[in-house]
Amino acid sequence: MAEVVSWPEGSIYLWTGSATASAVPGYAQNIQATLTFGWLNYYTVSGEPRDTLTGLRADVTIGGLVTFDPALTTMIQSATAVHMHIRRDALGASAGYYFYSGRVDQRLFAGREGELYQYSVTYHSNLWSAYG
Amino acid sequence: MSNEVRVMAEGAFYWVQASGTGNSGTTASAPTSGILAYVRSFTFTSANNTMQIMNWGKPSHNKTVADNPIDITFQCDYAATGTIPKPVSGGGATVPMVHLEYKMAQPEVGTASGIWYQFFGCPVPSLQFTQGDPNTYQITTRALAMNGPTGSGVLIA
Repeated sequence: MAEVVSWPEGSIYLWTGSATASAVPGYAQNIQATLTFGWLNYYTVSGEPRDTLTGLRADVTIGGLVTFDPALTTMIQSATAVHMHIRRDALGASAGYYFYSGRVDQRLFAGREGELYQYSVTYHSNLWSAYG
Repeated sequence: MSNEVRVMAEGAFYWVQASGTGNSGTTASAPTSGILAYVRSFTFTSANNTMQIMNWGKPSHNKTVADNPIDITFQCDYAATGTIPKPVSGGGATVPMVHLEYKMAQPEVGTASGIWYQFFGCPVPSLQFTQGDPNTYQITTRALAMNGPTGSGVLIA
């Protein structure tokens, strides 16, 4: 059985439109991705169970430390569709998810005396693909 | 084994003002540097934060979840200010830092032979002075990265 994945083996890229340049949320401290599959579960008139896919939604939250790196800020300020790639690399293999044409819902800043400035970004998408 | 064990008298310790973020030995042109003299003790700890992964109650494999900072402490007799590291804020970094290099000479191998350790990106968050006979100071620092043991030096030939 393959090894488990550790935090340093993960990464996230964001990009917009057809651009090849991407932004990496540097100094990331935590992420959470929730992929929700909407199912309509019902029985036919003959009593057979059925499931029909009604929709997809992925919600991703990234927490990190604030820097002056403008790529992420510029991308979020553009308020356009943002693609996201979450990947993990270990032992020469990679796996992950591509999220397409999502939107950044929120960007939260937080600062406190004696601590570093932190941010979090919440993102959603309705279309993705998986590999690995 | 032909090599002898190393002792404190074969050690030498240099510092140099850092530039850049400090993950490598980058310095400005002609940086200020110095030698740490009258060193009484020197310790460093290099460690990784590894976790042992269990599989249904049995150890399966290890994973490194973080490279820990390298903690360094040295205690010296107080002689001249030039022997005390003077950190500087180099380009690309807001925190004043020095790089450190430690050499253990291997005279039985050759006059220029030795074992070197380099410590990159060291701020000096703690410098403790103690009056006594002699006066001493203790510096505690924490490096961003290190290189060693290696067979060549940068500050100490």
